[in-house]
Amino acid sequence: MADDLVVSTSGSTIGVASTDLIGAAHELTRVQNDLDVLGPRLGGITIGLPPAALNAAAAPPGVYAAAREIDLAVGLLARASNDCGTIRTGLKLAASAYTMAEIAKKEAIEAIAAQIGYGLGFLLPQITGTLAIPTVVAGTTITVVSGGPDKAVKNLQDWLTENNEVITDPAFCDLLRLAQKSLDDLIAGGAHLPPAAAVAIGDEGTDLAGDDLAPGLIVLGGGALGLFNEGKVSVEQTGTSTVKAPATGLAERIARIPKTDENGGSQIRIDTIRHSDGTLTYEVYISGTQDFNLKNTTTPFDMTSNMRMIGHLPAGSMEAAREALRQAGVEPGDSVIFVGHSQGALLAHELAASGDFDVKGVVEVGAPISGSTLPTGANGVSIAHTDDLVTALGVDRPTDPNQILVERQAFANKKVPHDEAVPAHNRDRYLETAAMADASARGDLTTARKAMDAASDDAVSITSTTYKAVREKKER
Amino acid sequence: MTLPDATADRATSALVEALELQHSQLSAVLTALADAEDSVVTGASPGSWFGPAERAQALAVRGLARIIDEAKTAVERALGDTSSALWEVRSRG
Repeated sequence: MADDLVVSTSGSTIGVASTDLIGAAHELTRVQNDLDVLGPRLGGITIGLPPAALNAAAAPPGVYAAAREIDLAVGLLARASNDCGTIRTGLKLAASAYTMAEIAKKEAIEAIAAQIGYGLGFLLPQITGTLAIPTVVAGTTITVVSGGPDKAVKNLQDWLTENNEVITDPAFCDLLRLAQKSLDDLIAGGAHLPPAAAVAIGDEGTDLAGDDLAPGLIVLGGGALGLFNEGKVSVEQTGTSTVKAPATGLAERIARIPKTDENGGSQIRIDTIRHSDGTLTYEVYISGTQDFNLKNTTTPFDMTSNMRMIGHLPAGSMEAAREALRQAGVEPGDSVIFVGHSQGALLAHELAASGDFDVKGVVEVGAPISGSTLPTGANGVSIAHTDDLVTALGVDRPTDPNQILVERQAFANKKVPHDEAVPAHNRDRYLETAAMADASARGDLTTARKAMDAASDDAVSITSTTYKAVREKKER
Repeated sequence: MTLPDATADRATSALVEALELQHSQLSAVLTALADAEDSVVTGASPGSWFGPAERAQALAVRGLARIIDEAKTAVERALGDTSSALWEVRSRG
């Protein structure tokens, strides 16, 4: 993939479409509209004099010849307009065919990976015991090799930074996605389930095990090592200000996500929008992971919350987000737009999918996974870099029929920096992609953007409040 | 039948006026058609020749551009005919 956008929705017949094909189709719509105006306009150009007047003026042959040429041109424009429609349909079909080919290829690869995973899982317990598998995957290797979780994280971060070229490669991210997807097969093999049963409950069958099975077991396994345990979370307001104008488009919204390393650690911002009729609506901006330590930390925006949320277990960051909403006066059924980066994106998605709010929009960037489904008409937009290690944990994207997926390779034909970990996950790089998405003319993306902007059309005042969540180190 | 001079003069003036208007309208349409042709060639052509869809797209878009070009040529001829007629009527003195 070059440095361009690929936009898709799992709910549409066109699953994945290159901007080239869809962009050309859109351009043809514009040309067709122009031709449909020009044809009648040209047909309306006549000399406008009755035959008697033309005779009286002894009109030269050129007058009649021009009328014949105009008729000819009108016919050609009608044909060109018709061809625009035909070609546009062909382009959309071609994009759809590309999608089907991609899906077939992906499913074949996943089936092979699942069989390998099952075989490995079947053999491994003879040495380690079934329940040791997630523990081995999650903790033991890192802990034993590196001498404890704290040092392990530091080593991991150093390794990620040193190997940026490798991890910032779409092929590596695909491999990671595939490995994660086969974890359920590894576990099924480890439990000595019959192969048919493993397929039936796995993601190739009914997906009864679900993609959250493996993370859930990792959290349980990690718990034995003192990892991923929750603690009590408290939330306090850290600032209030007046905002001059509502956010418009995707990039402006992403720019409002709090930067915890610059603002003293406030992870959540809630803009309260007062409308001309006195009603209130809200835009909620949630930051990503602050601390990558595997043990629980004083911020609930850490790996403990990440892993617990992926495993669909109660998480401190979710508790923090709900408490901030409560303090902001957001009540069930209120109109809300959720915006988040990384773990914040995951929170935004889960809050929007909870059914507790009248969701007017959801903007996610660098989201690790999205197992829940957004409500219909939620105007969901998820932006994911194909070379972002974190989004590779999203397994199948998009899983949500009510969400538009915008993908781009952040470092296509660009040098990968060595002074930051996981650079394609950086919020500011997602800003670049969001600006490209804002400039995209694709219809469903434009509709979602406009619907979100319309939610604050008649705003008379906007108050912005930031919140900081803290977790008590004492475990529950 | 020979028309009185005054009647013929009025008819000629009306024709000149109508031809001038037609000339200006055709010129505007010609400009818009050139823009449409440019949009097709630059905006709807494939960015690469990587796959069969792109190759088919290139052929289809080329055909479409040719039709628009033919329409443009017909309008150019209509413009030329209008100019000739104007010149002829005016040259009668």
